[in-house]
Amino acid sequence: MSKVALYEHGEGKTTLRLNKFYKTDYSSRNFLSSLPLGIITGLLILALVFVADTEWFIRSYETIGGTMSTVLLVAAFVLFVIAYCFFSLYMFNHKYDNYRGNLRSYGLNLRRLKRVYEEEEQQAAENTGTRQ
Amino acid sequence: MNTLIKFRTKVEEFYIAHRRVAGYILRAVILFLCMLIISSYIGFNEFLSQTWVVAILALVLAFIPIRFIMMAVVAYTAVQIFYLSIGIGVVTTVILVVMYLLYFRFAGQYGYLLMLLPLLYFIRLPLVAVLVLAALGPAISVITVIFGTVFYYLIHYIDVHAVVFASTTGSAEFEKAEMLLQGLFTNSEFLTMLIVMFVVFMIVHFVKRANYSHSYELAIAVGTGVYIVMALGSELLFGAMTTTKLLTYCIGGLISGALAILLTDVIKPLDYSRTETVEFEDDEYNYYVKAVPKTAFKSETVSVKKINKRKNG
Repeated sequence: MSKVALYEHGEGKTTLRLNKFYKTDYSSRNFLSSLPLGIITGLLILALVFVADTEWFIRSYETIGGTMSTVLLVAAFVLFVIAYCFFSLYMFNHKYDNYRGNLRSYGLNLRRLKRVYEEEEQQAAENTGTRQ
Repeated sequence: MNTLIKFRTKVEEFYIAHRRVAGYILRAVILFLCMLIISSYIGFNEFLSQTWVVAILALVLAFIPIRFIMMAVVAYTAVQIFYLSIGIGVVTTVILVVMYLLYFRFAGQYGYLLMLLPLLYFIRLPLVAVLVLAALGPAISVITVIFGTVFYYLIHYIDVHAVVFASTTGSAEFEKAEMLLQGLFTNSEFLTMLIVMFVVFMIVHFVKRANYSHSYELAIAVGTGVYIVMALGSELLFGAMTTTKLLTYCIGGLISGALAILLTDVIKPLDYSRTETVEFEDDEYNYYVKAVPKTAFKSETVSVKKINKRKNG
C-alpha cells in the first residue's frame, strides 16, 4: 500500500495525468507545443551566431549575394526547427513508453492491494460467522 | 559497504517520513552552494554576493518548484553579469535562455545536477557527476552534462576576463559581446572538456549495459581511464601540459572514479552472488532474463517490552 501511495504522491502525479492520452495524441500535442519553442530557440541561436561573427555574415553577403545568403540562413533556421520538433517527438514517444511501463507496474500493485483487501474482508466475514 | 547501504536505507526512511521538510532543506542547501559558487566567480554586485543575502535567497527560492528554481538561478547569474557590462549581460542571458529552452523541455528533472556541476568543477571533481549520471541515468541526461559544462566555463571565462570586459568603454558593448562569444567558443580547454565529458558519458552508458556481473563498476573504471587518457592527450596535443595538470587529471580522475563507484553501489546496491538466470516464453516471445537482486536491509526496530514489578502490599 505504501508503495502505491508513494507512487501516487511522487512520479504518479505526472504519469497518471498521461494515462488520459493515447500515444499519438500525447506525442502530437507535445510536437505542436515544441514548434514555438523551436522557433524562439532557433532565432536566439541565430542572433548569437550573428553577434559572434558579424564579419563572416557581411563577407558571405558580399560573396554569394543577398538573396542566396538569406535563402541559406532561412534554410538553416527551418532545418533547425524541424530537427528540434522531431527530436522532441522522439523524446516524448520514449517518455510515454517509459511512463506506460511504470503505470503497468502501478496497476499490478493496485490489483495486488485489491486482492489483499478482499482476502482480509473474507477473513473478517468468516471470523464474525464463527463467533455467531 | 554494508554500513553505507544501511545508512542509505536509514536516510531513505527519514526522507520518506519527513518528505516535505527534507526536500526544502535539500533544495535550500544545493541552491545556497550553487549561488555561492556563482558569486565567488562573478560576484560583481557586492550586495547580492554577500553570504547572508545568498542564504536568504536560497531559503526563499527553495519553496518554488524545481523548474522555476533553475530560472531563478539563471536570473541571479544574469543580474550579476549585468553589473559588469550590459553587452556581456545580454549575451549571457541569451545563452542561458537557449540552454533553458533546450534543456528543460527534455531533462528538467535533472535540474539539481545542473546546479551541482559548477560546484563539482570548482572542487575539480566534475567527473563524479558524469560517471554516476551515465551509470544510473538515461542517455538523455547527457544534456545535463553538456549544459553544466557550458554554464561553468561561461562564468569561469567571464571571471578570468572581467578586467578586460570592465575596462573597455561603454560604447563598445557589441564588441565585448563578440569578444565573449568568440573567446568562449574557440577556447580549446572548454571545447576539449565538452568533448571529453560527452565521450566519457557515452562510453560509460554503453558499457554498463553489457551482460557482465559488476558492469556498473566496469563501466565507471573504463570511463575513468578514457577521461585520463583523453584529458592528458589533449593537453599534450595543445602543448599545455604541466605537472599540476598531470596530477590534477590523474589524481582527480582516480578519486572521481572511486567516489563514483562508491556512490553507484550505495544508490543502486546489487547482490551479484544471488544472480538468477530465468527462461520463459509466451505466445510471441521467448524470454532470457538475468535477474540481479538488490541488496536491502530492513532497519532494525527494537521493541522493548517493559514489565513492571508488582508492588507487594
